[in-house]
Amino acid sequence: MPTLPILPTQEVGSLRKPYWMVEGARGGKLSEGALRELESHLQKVPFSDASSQPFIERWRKGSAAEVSPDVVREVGSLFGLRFLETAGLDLVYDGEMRRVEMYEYPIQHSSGFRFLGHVRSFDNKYYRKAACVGEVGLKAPYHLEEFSFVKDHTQRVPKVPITGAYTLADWSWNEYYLRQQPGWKGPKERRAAQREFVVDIARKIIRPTLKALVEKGAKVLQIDEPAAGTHPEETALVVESFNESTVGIDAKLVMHICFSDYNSLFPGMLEAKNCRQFLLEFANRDVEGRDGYEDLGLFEDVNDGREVGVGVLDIHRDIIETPEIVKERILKAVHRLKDPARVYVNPDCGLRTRSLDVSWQKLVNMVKGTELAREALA
Amino acid sequence: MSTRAAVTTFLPRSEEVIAATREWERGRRSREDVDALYARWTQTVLQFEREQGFAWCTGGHLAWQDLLRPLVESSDGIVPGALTRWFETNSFYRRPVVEKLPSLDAGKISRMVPSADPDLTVILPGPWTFTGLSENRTGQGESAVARSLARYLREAVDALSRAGVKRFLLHEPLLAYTGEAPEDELRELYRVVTGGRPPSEFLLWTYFGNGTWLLPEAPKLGVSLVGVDLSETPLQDLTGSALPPGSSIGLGCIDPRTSLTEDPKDLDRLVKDVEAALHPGTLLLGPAAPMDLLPWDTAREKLAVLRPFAGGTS
Repeated sequence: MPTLPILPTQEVGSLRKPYWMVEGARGGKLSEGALRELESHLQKVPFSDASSQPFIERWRKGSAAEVSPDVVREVGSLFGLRFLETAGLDLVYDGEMRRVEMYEYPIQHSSGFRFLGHVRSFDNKYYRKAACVGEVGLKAPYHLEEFSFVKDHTQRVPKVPITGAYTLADWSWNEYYLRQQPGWKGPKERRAAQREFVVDIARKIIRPTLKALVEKGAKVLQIDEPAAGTHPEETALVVESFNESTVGIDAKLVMHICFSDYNSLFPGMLEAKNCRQFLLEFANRDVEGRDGYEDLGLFEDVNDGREVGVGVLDIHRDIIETPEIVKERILKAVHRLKDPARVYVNPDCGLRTRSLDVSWQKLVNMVKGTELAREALA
Repeated sequence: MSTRAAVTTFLPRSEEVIAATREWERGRRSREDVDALYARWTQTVLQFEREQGFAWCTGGHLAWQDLLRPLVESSDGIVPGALTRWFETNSFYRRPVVEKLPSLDAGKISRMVPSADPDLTVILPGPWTFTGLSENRTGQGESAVARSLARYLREAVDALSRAGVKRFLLHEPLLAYTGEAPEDELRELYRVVTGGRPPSEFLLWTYFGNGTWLLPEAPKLGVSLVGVDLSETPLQDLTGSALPPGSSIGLGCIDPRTSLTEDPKDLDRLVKDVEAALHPGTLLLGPAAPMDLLPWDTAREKLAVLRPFAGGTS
């Protein structure tokens, strides 16, 4: 694995899919707008190589119907990878270009679920939600093809994001395990059914998938648990889920949590003993008049060298953070954690909520800001 | 005793509306198109509510981005802040940031409800939740800002009443979630919102926690009933409440946190148990929590279970 600089920069998860990829996957000719976007991306990001060039030429000539969806996803994956590399990140992936999204994709690779429809996350953002209608299982380990592709196409450190068991359970309706509970389904019965559901996903879906990724060569695995803070009384279940998922997994393990009350999660979450890094959102809460980084104080007295991935980019607003703001945020984190070796730099969460142009400017400034912070610490 | 049923929370957007709002965000659909779709689907929801024989109609509040946003967007003085988790769900709201004592654009809030339905009920945050979920950056004390937000809420109620709204459902998830509030402060805030010459009927709906402690408070808060979330409330807490016979009680019994459709026999047993224990005058059956946690088809299917309880007497 390449040596990382101090204050390594890293992606978190998904980027928005470019129009040329979405239209290309449908099989028709690219619209003028998508073609313009493709040309603009080719100028910014060098993702045209020997394997993708013939297909890009076909799109340019308007004969896209010959480009299969698999090839489109591969070209998209290369674009996502080069996008992050060219922006200057140290740990990279492919922007999750092959995935539908972080919940639907693993559920599609699992058995025991049935999709019921879309529900709102906020404003005009939604996700497709499934009900667990039978005992859960794994159809086949997933993310293997995309990881192998990324590994074969980068000199940098690939970090594979994978949605955690607790989140998959929390974002699903639990019909099957709840039905097993006798009598009236009150708070006690619902909690017991949920625990069974979470632990089954951890053992039967996540652990075998992590194991398969490690066998393919993955060295850094990021388990995404955005739902971790949803039910403060279930912190122990989040920990149990992480620990069950990672039994026997020989890789650096990272846990990503966002938009949660960290005071309710920590120090309980530190019981996830295999977790070497907590990758967290902070920029969203760093608004005028409030220090969004004060919760880093929760890690001040953690003396086992565990790292914090510090969110310095707000992924819900188009405002472009300046390099100076990024630098300030990093230095605050270093000050709180007392050791720069414990600090990684990242966006709050995946940037798919922003346009690719906005994401690009944010990431470039994140890298510049990190360089400024490195200079300040030198 | 009479039983009634009604929609007491937001309803989900249909798949068609969801697709349209997504396309609008991506610049592929006009605002007018999306608004026309909201209007059409609101009529569909109103028709569904009438067909079920529900006690009133809401139209679902399909265009509202969250419980607090219409009050934020109709104000001068409150701005939408950080995206914040909506209690223990995978939904988020924009935390209102109170920058100065707010004034209301009455026309704007009035345009946010579908008109032309004489039996329209509008959902608004109760004053405790409105204040508790907002961030105070006015430089004034919390109590002063709470009173000011309650007055602002009353202005909104008055404006909507002038537009023809006859009934308001005040949502107070925070009261149930935290399970407490200083009695005097709570009554004072409600006096501001519901007191004086009340232009309309008020109901208080709680969820995301046990709200049974509020049941005896209903008359003192100026509301005709309090609804409780029975998925978060042990049944004995409800049946053990100290309520005078003949009271009105809201039973939040359709749970949007599970896609399983409620068994009508369970609901029937629930009604009988509550009747035997409390001898209420009216039981109003409705959602236990916001139904927009479900897709529209599932929500409609679950709500249809309430039909036998709409307009019954025993």
